Amino acid sequence: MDISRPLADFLPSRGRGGLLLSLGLLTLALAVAAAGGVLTVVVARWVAPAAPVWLGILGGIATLIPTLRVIARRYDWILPWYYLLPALVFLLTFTLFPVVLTVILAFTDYAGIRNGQLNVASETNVVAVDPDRTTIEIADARVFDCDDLRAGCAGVRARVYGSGDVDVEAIAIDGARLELAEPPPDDRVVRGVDLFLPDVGLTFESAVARVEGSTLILERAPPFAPDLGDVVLRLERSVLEVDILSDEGTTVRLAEPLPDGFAAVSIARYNDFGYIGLRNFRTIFAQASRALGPVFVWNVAFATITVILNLAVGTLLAVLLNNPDLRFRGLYRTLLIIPWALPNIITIQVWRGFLNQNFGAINRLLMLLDVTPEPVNWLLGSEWPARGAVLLVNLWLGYPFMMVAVLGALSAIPRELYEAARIDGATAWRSFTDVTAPLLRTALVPITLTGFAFNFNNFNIIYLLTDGGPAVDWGTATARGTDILISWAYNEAFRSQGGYAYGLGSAISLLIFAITLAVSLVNFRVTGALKEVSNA
Amino acid sequence: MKRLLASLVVLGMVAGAAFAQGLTVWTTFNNPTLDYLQQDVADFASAFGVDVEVVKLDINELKQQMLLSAPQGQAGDVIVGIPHDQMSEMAVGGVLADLTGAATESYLSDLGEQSRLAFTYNGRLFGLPLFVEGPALLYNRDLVTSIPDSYEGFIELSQELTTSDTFGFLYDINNFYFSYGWLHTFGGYVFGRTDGTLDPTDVGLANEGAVRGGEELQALRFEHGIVPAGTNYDVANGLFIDGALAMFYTGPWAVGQAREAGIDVGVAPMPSLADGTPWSGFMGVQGVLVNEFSERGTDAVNLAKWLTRSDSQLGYAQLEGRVPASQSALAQVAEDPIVAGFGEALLTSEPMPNIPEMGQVWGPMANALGVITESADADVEAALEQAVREITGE
Repeated sequence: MDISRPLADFLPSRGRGGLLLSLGLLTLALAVAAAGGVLTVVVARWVAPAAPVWLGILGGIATLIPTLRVIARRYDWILPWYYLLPALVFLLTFTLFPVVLTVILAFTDYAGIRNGQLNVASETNVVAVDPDRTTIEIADARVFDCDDLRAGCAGVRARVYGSGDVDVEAIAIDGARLELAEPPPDDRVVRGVDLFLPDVGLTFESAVARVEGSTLILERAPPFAPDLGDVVLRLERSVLEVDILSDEGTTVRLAEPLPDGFAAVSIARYNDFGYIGLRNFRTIFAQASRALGPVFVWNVAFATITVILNLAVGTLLAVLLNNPDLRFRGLYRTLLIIPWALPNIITIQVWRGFLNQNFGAINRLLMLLDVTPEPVNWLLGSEWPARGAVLLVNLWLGYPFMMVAVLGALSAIPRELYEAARIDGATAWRSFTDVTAPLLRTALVPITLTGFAFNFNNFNIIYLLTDGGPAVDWGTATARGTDILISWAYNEAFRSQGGYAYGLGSAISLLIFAITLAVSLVNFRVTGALKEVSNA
Repeated sequence: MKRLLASLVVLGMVAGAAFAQGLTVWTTFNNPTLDYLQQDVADFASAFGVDVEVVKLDINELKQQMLLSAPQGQAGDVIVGIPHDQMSEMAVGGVLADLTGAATESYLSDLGEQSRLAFTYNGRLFGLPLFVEGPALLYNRDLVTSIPDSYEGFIELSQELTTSDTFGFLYDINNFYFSYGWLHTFGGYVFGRTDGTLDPTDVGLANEGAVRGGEELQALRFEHGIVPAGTNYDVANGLFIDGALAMFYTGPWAVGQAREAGIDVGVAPMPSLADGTPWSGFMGVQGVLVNEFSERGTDAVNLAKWLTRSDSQLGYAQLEGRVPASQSALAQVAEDPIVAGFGEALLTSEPMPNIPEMGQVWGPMANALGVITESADADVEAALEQAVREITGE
């Protein structure tokens, strides 16, 4: 860089255009690097098929550096922008990519068993091939199972298999050299061989390394003596990938004809997933009265009550601790911060123990004090005790933060104000409501908003304390007594429909985003938090 | 918490598997069967000269982990000990190897009919059966001399044995796997059959019989007072091991631990109903599956066969009374009282449906059971009907 040149040479053109140009150039550099990485892997695989994938990263970096130099030569001013490059990479990988993926998946039926893999279980025999070689008859339409897909098998990829295995006899074996009575058919590739081992009563399989006339060189010698009369040659199955044009009962039409000489033996289809429009959203709204509705109401209540409770307790403790006449203030403050310092996962487990119906400390205490004649079924009874327990535990976890925040704000209030209030004859309560509270407000509004936003999606406490339970008669298996929106989405995505229903889970996530956005906007409007920003 | 730990374990494993040279076995077994499996695997490793690593997974995690990580080449090569009801989801998801060609005539003909059918989906064999299991009545012989002939007598005995020191009868009531015994014996069913095949649109879990079964579950807790609130599997198992529980409705996996703790364990089928209807709960077949994406497919198939040979099955029977899938192995242990007890219970049991739709049954039914056993006046019919709506997706 030539430092004698004027500073302006090193700045992009001002305003939005300059910013976009810079970001565009950075993205371009990353795209070139990605292409370089992919190319490296492709070439490496071509040279040595077992080449590891991480070569791609090296290739990418190796491409990135010269690309950056070339760009810097053309645009001098871009150099400082290179500092943004790592941030841009992380932004793309960890924020933009998941967001885009979620939005796309929300409109598909992607799920555990609609995963785009070959459906091994759908393999069925080909009974007949029409002379046009595109129409085939399959043995069992139920096995092929086109009904399970969005629109039958039309447009779905299929795999057609030819040929199979043959039984042969061997005459001798010496280590890994197996001599057959006759050479294997020479137009077919021998993939492996099955040998029956009478000593252990099972069939041994081995891949075949080489064929020398009628002698097979096995990759692994059988550990026990095989039965030479009972040998199965596993011949390479010829495989053809083809799209399905349409299907009707046992008649399947392929998009392109089978090549001449290809003897189709069986066919299997892929698990297709794809665009289903708004069906996921319709599913969600169809059960809104059982899931979305009650879960949303409880979610708002949970976040609101948590923030109010935590703020109240935090403020009370902070005001008490702020009294300079209090002895051992430092000690109390330390003790009160401990719940915040301990890891949530441990604290919540301990609380689960406390809340146990028969052995927990809380029920014992309540019964000792004669508050309740029967032990309360906190976590597994009806939803109300469980919700109370969630709020209680969340108070324990959350008040120290509020307390520390209020303590900080309190120390900024001049003591003279209290003195003046006292001289004017104000009681302690008056000086709190008329001096402390108004001065705290400005400091507490942002904290309250963050607290609300955080608790609105507070997955930890629900998952670890109640796991969404107890079961309730007004809910569903995925939306139970204490489930909030985010835990409901988790249940739908990872615990229903054969393990994972990504499509539906993504749709719920989009909905949560919309709801959170709406709630936040209302919040900001009501509290005027955006006022200064919008004035600027 | 368990799930969290399991995920961490899986993560570690995935990292390990990426660099491992040999085979990786994923298993759901606990001790003592896990030790036995390790030994059997070690024998294979030395006979065949293949390195094998055994990794333990949670039974509720394994299927999902397979579906997610097998196509990426990061799952175990061989899966040991997964109940057959989870097989078809993995087969349809494309992560299981078709073992139809791998199983020999002699192996197949030695299997019990139910075991073979359990792992057969769409006419193809996706797993080699290892043993058959299902819940039966485990009892502490120091507390119970004999099990009554009728369900009513059993309820009375349970009430008698529920004292200040001991519990008469407990089980994991909110678990559909066990409570299906009540729903089915009284007349409910999971999927009906049309032309001999399971029909996922015909769900019989809210029919008249299922509702009666559900009411009986409610009565257990609130009328007979024998399965109190707060009972789950760990509580019941812990009490049985401590000798403070007389009768426990569970499967063979509970036998090993109880015996180690010095409990004199007896096994009997649950008694029949007053009208003579025999008790009928779920029957599960556990087997060995092979990963379709395994890079060492032939070794994996060899290991699967090794682990399911009849000698190997004998060990599980002797350890915990798992009824061998192999008829020749079964003949050798038929005299064993534990095996005989479970075997008798299995005679009248219903195999778990092995179609993929079964995966959608567990969650809603657990939820319905939670509602039913929560209070004496919960509406059993409404709870079961809601569960069925969720299962069929209507």
